[in-house]
Amino acid sequence: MQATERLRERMAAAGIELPPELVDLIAMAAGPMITSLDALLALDLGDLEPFSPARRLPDDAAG
Amino acid sequence: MTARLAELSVAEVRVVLAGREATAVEITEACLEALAARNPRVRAFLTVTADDALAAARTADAALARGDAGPLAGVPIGVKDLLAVRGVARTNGSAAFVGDPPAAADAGAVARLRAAGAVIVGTTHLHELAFGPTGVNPAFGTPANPWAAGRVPGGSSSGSGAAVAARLVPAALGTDTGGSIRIPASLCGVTGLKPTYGRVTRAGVTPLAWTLDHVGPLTRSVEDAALLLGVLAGHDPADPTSARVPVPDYAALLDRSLRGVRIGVPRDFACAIVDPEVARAFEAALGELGHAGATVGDVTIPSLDHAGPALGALILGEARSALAPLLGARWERVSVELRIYLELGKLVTAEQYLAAQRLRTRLYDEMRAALARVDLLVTPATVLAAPLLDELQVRVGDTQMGTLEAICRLSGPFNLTGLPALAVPCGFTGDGRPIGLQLVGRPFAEAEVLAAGHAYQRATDWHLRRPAG
Repeated sequence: MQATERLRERMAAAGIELPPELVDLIAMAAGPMITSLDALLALDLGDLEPFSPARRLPDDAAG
Repeated sequence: MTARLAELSVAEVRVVLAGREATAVEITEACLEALAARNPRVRAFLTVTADDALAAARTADAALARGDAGPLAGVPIGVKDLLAVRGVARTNGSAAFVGDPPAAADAGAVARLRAAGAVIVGTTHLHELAFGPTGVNPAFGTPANPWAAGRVPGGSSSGSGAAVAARLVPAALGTDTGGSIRIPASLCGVTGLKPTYGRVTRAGVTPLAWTLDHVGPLTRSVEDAALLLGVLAGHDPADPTSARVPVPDYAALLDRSLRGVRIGVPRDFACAIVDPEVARAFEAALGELGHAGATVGDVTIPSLDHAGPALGALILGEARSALAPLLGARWERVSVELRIYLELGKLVTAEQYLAAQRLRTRLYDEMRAALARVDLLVTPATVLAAPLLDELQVRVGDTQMGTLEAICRLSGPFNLTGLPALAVPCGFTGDGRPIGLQLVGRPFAEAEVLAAGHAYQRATDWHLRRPAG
């Protein structure tokens, strides 16, 4: 229930417009995935740059 | 004879036509008869373009008679209704697009198929706007899983997977953003190839997530996938992400031994959460690959543990950005499910999105390092066989998890890195649901991936089995 409440607050803060009765459904189906997005910010990514598949993969194939 | 013609593989169509055992028109008519008889039950096709298909078949027969036919002359093919097909009103699997005018031109991949002589017989069902891995689509109808009533076909290329499994067409096009070719291939017991990012043009394809979207074939065998990729691959100036990398003759490179091929299993991740029946089939497949001459060992790719959140951030963020403007005033006509996903895109912050993109660089570096020590990575294609249609959560081994997360767990990482990934059938559960094996290679090394898959299919007969009815 706490997780659902947190998700509800988070969605409201983001300006998400969905019927309240759907929040429980969302919490069950996608709640852990949404919560897991925060974990990305805790990663030590050093000086890595964003991935560019259209550049990186052909470069590697050529190299 | 008609039933037999309708069930030919791509390679078999080529042999039959070359031997003048049948004409392209006869094969197309057989295919259209099969569609008329069985598509109402399978629900794989949204639109059947019979007149156009027969015209293309007549053109193929003329080319065959002249001796200048293309490599796919007379081969009936379905196209996921996310790609533009000239003369067909594209729905993207959404009520929001009903009433749109027919496409004036083909998507790049469809144009390549036509130029090679293929017969486009219609467009196939999908998860709405390709945003979901189950194929469940209440508005347009969910394709039946030909192996398992009441189970999802897998998506988002659900109709393409079901159509090939049900022997309605020998091949179909799909798209793959988090596994949408390999998932229906795995759950429906067919072969599905997600080529390297940029290998096949995405021009004329409705986007879901630009940095993750791929186009590729679903077929009954690896040999057929190689034949299609040989036509589909190549640079297209109409797609800014299309790669200028030489295209080998994939079909000619299939018959290579697995002797000396090194296969790596990212076991810590790939086997951590997996259904016991899938795990058994996977281990048996590794045994087959070893028996065929490959050396099989474990590799470690630590960042796979973060692939799920990264994929979520990227798909939610990019799809919101791509689809909200495309939908515009039609927003109110999308399903509740899609509306939820698009609204959830607002939850992804710029910082999270960029962290996901930076994590991709690390994940790619780790996979490349692993692929310096081995030639291929191998995992189950999905951690479970087809779940029930209405399951929001599933139990996978000892783990309870969301169905969407479970289905995409092993396919999504290779959308993040863009590496070529092939799903092939490798067994069945005790109640008859297909199980898939995934083979992954270095950038643009589809030839090596396909050769390994072909070697596996020469040693096994899972891909030859067909569902009842």
